[in-house]
Amino acid sequence: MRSSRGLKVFAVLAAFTMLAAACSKKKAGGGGGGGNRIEVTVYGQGAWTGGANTLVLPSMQSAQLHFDELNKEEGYPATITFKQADTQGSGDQAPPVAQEAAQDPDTVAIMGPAFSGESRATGDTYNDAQIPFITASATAVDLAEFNWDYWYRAVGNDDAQGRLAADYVADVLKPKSLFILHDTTDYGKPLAETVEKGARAAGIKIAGKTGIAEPAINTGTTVNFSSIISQIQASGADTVFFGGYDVDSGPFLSQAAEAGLHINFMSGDGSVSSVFLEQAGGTGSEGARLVAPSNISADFVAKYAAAEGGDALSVPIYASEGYDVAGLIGEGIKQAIEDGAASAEEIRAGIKKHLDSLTSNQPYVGVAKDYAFDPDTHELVTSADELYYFYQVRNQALVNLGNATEVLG
Amino acid sequence: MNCLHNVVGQFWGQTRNGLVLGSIYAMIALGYTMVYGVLQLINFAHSEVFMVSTVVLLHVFSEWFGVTGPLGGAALPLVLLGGLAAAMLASGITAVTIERFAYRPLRKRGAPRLSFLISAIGASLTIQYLFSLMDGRHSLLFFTLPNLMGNTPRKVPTVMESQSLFSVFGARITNKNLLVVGVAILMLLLLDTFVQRTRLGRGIRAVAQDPETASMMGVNIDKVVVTTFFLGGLMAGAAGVLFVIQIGASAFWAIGFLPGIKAFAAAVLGGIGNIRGAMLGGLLLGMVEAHGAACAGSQWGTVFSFAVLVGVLMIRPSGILGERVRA
Amino acid sequence: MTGERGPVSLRKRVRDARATLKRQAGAALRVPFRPLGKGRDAARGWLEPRRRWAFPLLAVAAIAVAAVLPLLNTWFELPDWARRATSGAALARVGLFALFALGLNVVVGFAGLLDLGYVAFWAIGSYTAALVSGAAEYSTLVRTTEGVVPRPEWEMWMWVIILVALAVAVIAGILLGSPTLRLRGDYLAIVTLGFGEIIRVTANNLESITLGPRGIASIPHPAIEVGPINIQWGTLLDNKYYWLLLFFVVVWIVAITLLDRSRIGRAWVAIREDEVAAAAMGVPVVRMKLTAFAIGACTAGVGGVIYAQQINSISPGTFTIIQSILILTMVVIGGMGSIPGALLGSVLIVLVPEIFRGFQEYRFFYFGIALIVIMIFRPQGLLPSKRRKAELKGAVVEEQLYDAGTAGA
Repeated sequence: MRSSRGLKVFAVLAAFTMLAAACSKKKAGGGGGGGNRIEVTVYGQGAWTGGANTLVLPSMQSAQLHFDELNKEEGYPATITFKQADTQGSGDQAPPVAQEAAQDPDTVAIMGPAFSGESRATGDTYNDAQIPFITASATAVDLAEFNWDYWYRAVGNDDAQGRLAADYVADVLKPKSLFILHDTTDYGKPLAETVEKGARAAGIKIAGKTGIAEPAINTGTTVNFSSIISQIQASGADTVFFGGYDVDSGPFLSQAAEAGLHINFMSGDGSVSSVFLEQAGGTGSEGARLVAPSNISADFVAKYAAAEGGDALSVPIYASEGYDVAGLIGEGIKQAIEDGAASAEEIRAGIKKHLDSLTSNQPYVGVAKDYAFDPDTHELVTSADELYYFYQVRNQALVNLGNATEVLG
Repeated sequence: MNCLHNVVGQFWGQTRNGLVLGSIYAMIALGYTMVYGVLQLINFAHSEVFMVSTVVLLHVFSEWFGVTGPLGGAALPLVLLGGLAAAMLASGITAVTIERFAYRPLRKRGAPRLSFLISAIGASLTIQYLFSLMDGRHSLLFFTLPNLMGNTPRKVPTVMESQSLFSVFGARITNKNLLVVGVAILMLLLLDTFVQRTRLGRGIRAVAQDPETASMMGVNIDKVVVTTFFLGGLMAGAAGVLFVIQIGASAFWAIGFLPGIKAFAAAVLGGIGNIRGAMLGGLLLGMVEAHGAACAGSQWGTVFSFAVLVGVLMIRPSGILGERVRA
Repeated sequence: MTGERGPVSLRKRVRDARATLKRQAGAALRVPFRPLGKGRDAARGWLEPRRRWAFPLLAVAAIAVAAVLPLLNTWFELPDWARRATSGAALARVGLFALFALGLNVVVGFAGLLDLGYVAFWAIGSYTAALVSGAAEYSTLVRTTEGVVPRPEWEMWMWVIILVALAVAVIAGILLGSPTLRLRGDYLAIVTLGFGEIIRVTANNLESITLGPRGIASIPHPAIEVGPINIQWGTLLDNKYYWLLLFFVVVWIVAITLLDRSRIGRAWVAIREDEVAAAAMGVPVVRMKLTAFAIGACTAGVGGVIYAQQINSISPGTFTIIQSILILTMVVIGGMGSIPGALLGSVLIVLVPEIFRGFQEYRFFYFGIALIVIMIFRPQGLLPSKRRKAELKGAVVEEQLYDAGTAGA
């Protein structure tokens, strides 16, 4: 008896909750602003929440910072509302999120997608909707091969990252043999294999190679690396390159330290975060090398830390790049409106026109670098080895060793 | 063959890995097997019972005990025991709650097996996503959910520092390894003793063998069922604590999923309904995973375990140690 | 505290009171639904004698209404939630999952086999489409060739791809089904779950064929070019996908209904109720079970083909266990073994989160609760088939044969 009545009450309350949740639609911020500013929306697609968000938040926060600056600027012709398109970094959660962003009538541009997997899953959505989408962090090489007219990459890609990592391993670490470890994702595996190829070409012996079947980046669950650690020990390798994310590289190092595995460790931009340092622990992380196409100790970082205060992430990877992408979009909006655009479609076209007009002689000058995009691949024309930075962990903090030109000569 | 060479070369290390891994699977498998023995039901929600213990452990260590780093001396066993007790209790209570709300109404009605399975899946989803929503920002029926878990994995403070104690044929055995295997063996012995020697344990065995007769002989079926779930929950709770300590895992709402499937496969492998079978199945599965990784690399993961499971089931559908067949 | 036959214990009184209240509340709860039941019976009463022309007319009307749904948006000014629910993409999703639900309904509902690895057949269908259409080749070619590689011309009829995928799916269904034949329901569940995972991990690792974690992109959209007929399917948001899926759903409903009424359908019922007795009566249990698996598999296979062609790029990460569970939830909530039930289930599960935006994050929690509640209070589902209702309710007598008030004292 109680169960039936309780069920009825529960059903009514549940229905109320759902209705309440549905009816509390958040109205677009907008914010008045003086004059006849055009209201536009930019979505930031990436892992705002979830285990991978330490890799994405700095760039998003910096973008928000720049948009706020533009909104306060005198004479800036638009009010930009920056909205979250939270995919938690997952390529499977991304399509409906992207669809919503694409169907929002006020959307003029997308910052992101932040990860390569979600880029593949949502690229066509944005491209077909003719919305420019600029990524500050998705480094997978094949993204350029989709021939998306509206996609732009504001950082270097994994071909360069892998090549430079391999060069570093060969020239600086000079290992007796190298073990290749990857997380079987579409980011980590190609990166690790690029490093493998480069290392082989440099004559380094590859002691072994294996992948993590269920990496934490996918499942959220910490991986038990004991069998992998035993494999590495048996292979006799003294250096490991790991292609993957912080949620896996961190626990790997901490478990390796506990198992008494003493190796040189190197990983890519997916590991450059506070989660990596925290999970790896003091002993585990000491001496680890990382490479990323982002300078975490740039001048801008001080401004970022001051602006965010307590919310600032301690490892602000891609913060400068995020700030710059926001600048690219903001500049594009301004150009479009000055050229007479008024509707969202026109502004989108105007932004694209502006991005296409950048050349190495007339680039967009950002805080991290100068931006101009190759007309075919939409990759950075101005990408060079000097944009890749090497880091080493000392006392649970990342020390900037310098950029690739400085370190490798 | 590369595979054979690898397996032989890494044999002792991977055996140690497999035993440690397997002990944890075995303890979770005990919960599955006991519930199956008594109710002929696969408790899909058992993986969430495991998960709850990791979340409780997180809060017990970081908030109750205020642990910030590895402990030494007398503090360590105290904190460990406290965490273990709290986590096991929480898991036990979760298991009993699941039984009360998801299974008992079906049992009272005499519902077919399929209904239980589906209700179990529903319970599993409910608890998982309830915890994923518990980040202080979501609300249910006008109550704001407390910030206990949420969508981001939370690292459990490290209380125990790993120390290498001795070597067996070149494979280092650490204090954590001994802790895991030791606790697993202890729990198994206690459970076995309980089931063999105590009155309630006899009741469990009686119901597993023949519920109608048992009830006619005066065994309180409800009490037996609740006890079974509670004991299974305790085991899963201990497994959760050991899992976190062994690899420094972070608490996460989906943490139970993979270990749950593997443990269930282990229970089936050993012969579901059979406590010793669960232990055997767990250890076997752990070994298959570890040596399988040595053979073909780790990227195949669970595939090995499932392949073994299917293989065994095709040859011997009742599992290795057979299972108590009920009419 | 004395009853007719002497003192009655408190416990018994409480138990009796609970039972009575439960019965009365149950009866009370059913009161508001009585008109529905009466209406349904009246409708049935009116239709039965006229069934020859009434039923087909009703069916055609229903299909017409369904087909017209995406166009409502262009004809009327719909409120936000209705617009979202009737968008081409949302309806296509409904159609896709309706197809999946129909297929799983055959396996779980008709044959009584709890398949938790159903997503494997979806994956097989999608990957077959991707491989057969040349998309995999194109992706590899793009990586290795300089310059722009022209996208593959649609050389093959879409129907050929579907037929190939059907064949592959059927073979897969038989292959994956055979090891499970001797297993009881509980073991069947875990083994099928394992198969689902095996397919996903294999797709992730077998890079030479499936292109690994990156997945296969640039899968061509469907097209029909026969003589004067030239229909091209566009991108994700195109309404035509919904109509294509609707077509298949209708075809499948007809086919499965015919199957259900045939000897095969009766054989399934026999197996479901008592396998041993069925075998003793000469029912070819093995063949019937495999047939169920094969039909379920080819349904998912066809759905997978259309999914791949619509979404345009697939990766192993899409085909996770939670998808199998989602489809199972649709079948269960709608009604196991009931075709209208499967349809209702898919509509509810796909559209409710679409309509109630705030529901998105809570949906799996509520689905879980719904499963439990349905199993306890209405295991035959929302739109049950009479037979299943009788089976699942078990020993409880539903109808009151006499008034509770007049029984006893």
